[in-house]
Amino acid sequence: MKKLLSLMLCALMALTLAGCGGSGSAGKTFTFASELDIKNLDSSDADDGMSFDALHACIDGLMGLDKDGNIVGAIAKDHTVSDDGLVHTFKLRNAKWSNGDPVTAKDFVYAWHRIVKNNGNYAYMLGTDGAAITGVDEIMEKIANKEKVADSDYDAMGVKAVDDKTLEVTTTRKIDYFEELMTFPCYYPINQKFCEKAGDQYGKSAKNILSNGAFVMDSWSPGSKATFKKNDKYWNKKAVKLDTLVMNLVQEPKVGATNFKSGKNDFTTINSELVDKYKKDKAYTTFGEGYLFYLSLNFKTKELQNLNVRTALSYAINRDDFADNVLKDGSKGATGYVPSGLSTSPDGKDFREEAGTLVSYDAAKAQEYLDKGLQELGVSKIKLRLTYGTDESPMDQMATYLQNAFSKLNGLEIEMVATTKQDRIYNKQKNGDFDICCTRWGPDYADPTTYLNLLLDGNANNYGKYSNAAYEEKMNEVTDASDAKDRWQKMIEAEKIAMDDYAFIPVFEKGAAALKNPKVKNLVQKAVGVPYTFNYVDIK
Amino acid sequence: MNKSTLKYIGKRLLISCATLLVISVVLFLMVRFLPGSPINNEKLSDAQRAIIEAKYGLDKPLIVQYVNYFKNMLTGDFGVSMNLYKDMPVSSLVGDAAKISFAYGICAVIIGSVIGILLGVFAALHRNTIWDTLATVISVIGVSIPSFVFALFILIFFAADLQLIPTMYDESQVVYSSIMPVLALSVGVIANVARFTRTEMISVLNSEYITLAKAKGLDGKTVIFKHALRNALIPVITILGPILVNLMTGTMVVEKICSVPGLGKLLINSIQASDYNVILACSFLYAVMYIFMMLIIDVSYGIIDPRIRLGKDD
Repeated sequence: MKKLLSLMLCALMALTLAGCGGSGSAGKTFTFASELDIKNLDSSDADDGMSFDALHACIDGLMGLDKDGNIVGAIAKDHTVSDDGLVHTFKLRNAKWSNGDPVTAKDFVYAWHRIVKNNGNYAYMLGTDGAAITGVDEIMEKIANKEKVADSDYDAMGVKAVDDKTLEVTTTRKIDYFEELMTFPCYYPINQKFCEKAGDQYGKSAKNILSNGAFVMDSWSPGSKATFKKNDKYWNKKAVKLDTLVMNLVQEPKVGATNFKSGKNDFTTINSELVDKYKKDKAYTTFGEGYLFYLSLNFKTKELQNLNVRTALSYAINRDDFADNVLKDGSKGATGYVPSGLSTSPDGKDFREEAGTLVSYDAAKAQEYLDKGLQELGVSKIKLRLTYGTDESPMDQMATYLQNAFSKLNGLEIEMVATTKQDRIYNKQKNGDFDICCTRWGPDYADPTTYLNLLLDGNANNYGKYSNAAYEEKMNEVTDASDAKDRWQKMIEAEKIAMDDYAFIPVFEKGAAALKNPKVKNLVQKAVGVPYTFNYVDIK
Repeated sequence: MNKSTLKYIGKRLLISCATLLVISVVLFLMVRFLPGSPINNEKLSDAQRAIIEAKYGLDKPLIVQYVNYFKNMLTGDFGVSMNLYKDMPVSSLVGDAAKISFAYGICAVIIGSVIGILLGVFAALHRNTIWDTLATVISVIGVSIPSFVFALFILIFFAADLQLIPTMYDESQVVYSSIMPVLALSVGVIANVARFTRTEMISVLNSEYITLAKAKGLDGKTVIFKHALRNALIPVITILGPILVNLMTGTMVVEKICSVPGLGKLLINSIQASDYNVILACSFLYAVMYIFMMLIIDVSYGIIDPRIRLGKDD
């Protein structure tokens, strides 16, 4: 008993002592709470927003963002493009890695070769679907066919270090948004010496990631917390106001909000259940996440080949009601196929603003169009399957809402097909075993074509096999356009063609709600690529 | 420990190993038949997916995959995470999480049983008084309210409002930041142990050997602690085993609320991400702990109560 007592006393003393410790780190600290964890810090393989946030805190690519979110040179101080638009030359500034090595053009060449070699998640971003670098598609095809890829194949890739400070990139086609692309983490440089020394542990722990960016990773405990310290060797260290950046994993939004209210973090995302409670709080903020949730239609289904039926489906959806009253998380009803906030025109206007509202809600019109459609089909009633993944929130809410909306139309019966995301994509959609499918798309780069390309004949993600000659022609014009304004106009026209045809039915643009300390300034949030840039964050 | 006990333990160990082998096969198959896949980036081409599957050996027949997995497992290699923490070794992920969950579980059970036993004995000694009713009410509340509600209560009042303790797990102040989850976890233990101890204590106190002890003129303390409590504790140990395993293998909700990087949270997250190797390692660890704990409990019966014999005497 005495032993037990003394043990308990010891424990009590330890507790009290530990309590005195406190965490009084000096300088400005910004604490960011996230529901999702950092998965991987290898820029060749990382494919999720949180990993991108952490990666970008440590690493600068060729291009970066200024504190207003505009694209500016980061490691590249100058970018020139050849007359035919195919050769990009980047002059690099005198930047250093945190181990003192200079950042050279070879670091980019090494990283880009590595992502293709390792078949990283974003390897396709170097090929035709992304930067269209010469030679990449050929190598990837060889890898896919299990053929041997020779060093000479990599040497032939369109990325060359002309000298230590000059990087030359050759592409197979002209890409107007190339600078934008270069902000994406898969194009970040990697220090070869450091990476090879770390081996397969590269990017798997705080000590195995080398920084050339605003912060150096100090610690990382998966499932809990990551801390970053200001990088004294950063080329732009004057712009960095924070001394410490903390990323906490708080999986429960309610806990995140409670922590926020008690001053334990400066930023936390909240879910729709909490929106009503905090809506009037001055810390409350919403932003777009860049994802468009839409209905993919199967053009092999006879009923859906009828334009009137497709039109009826679109008119039946009260998108604003769903976004504002059901989701309540900062999401917005979609008004077209390219989401708002994705890209700006050469005149600085948002695509959505210029392209206008192309879909709307009108129950009476929906019934009218459906009646017309049924008449053309020669039937009194049709039955369509609505396929959705139950493991991809808020697809389940969306499907339930749509079922309700569609069932209000006389002559339309909806059969719900609930499945998993995996099954939805790889079995149902890929094999054309669906009628209407709830799906979503997140942009790879900030250009409308990241969406518009999906409707092209032969695009791997065009599961509904939509095909329209007028659309194809317009998209060819977009590709061939030499003038940026002309290209922009053609994209607007292309979207109009697809939407008049109801090729896809857009439903909503995913948003998020968050609590942000009003003293926090210059937290750059983007719907494409790296969600948060912490480089300029200041607390005033 | 006599020969028959050792023989009994040996036999039990053999049976345990066989059980674990069966469990590993069943787990392996169940995990593979889960809907979904760890490679769930919809933008990957078929060829890219095939290459990634080959990298993790997912393209091989199931039996080959199992044999490879089992062989590696025997050397302590549980493979790498395929999705959750891409390419990180599972042994270190699960190991780090298990350390925290084990420590929390053990602390909660120690604190819970000490307080629970005291509460139970107190209630039994003051049977049918206001104190007994009070103790019963406390334990009924403890049993019926889930631990995460206590965690939320502590979080809101003591951590967020009064700011006495940290709101989330912090590696730099492990003990201090563990108060909230450990307290929340121990409430259930207190309640269960107190109820059991009270009931057992009352029946033991009514037995003839206690009357005899009292008649022999032994003082109250000796009667209660040496004779009554020791016998009353046997059933308590039966419930402590499973409680300990449950708490040690992590409690998802409390871990989520207190933002603790424990085993329960890792398991649930890995299931959501279909991260095969992490799910397998977590659930297998659970099975090993459960079986091992049952064995310890059975053996400890014999030590606590010499009347119970393990195995057959030759």
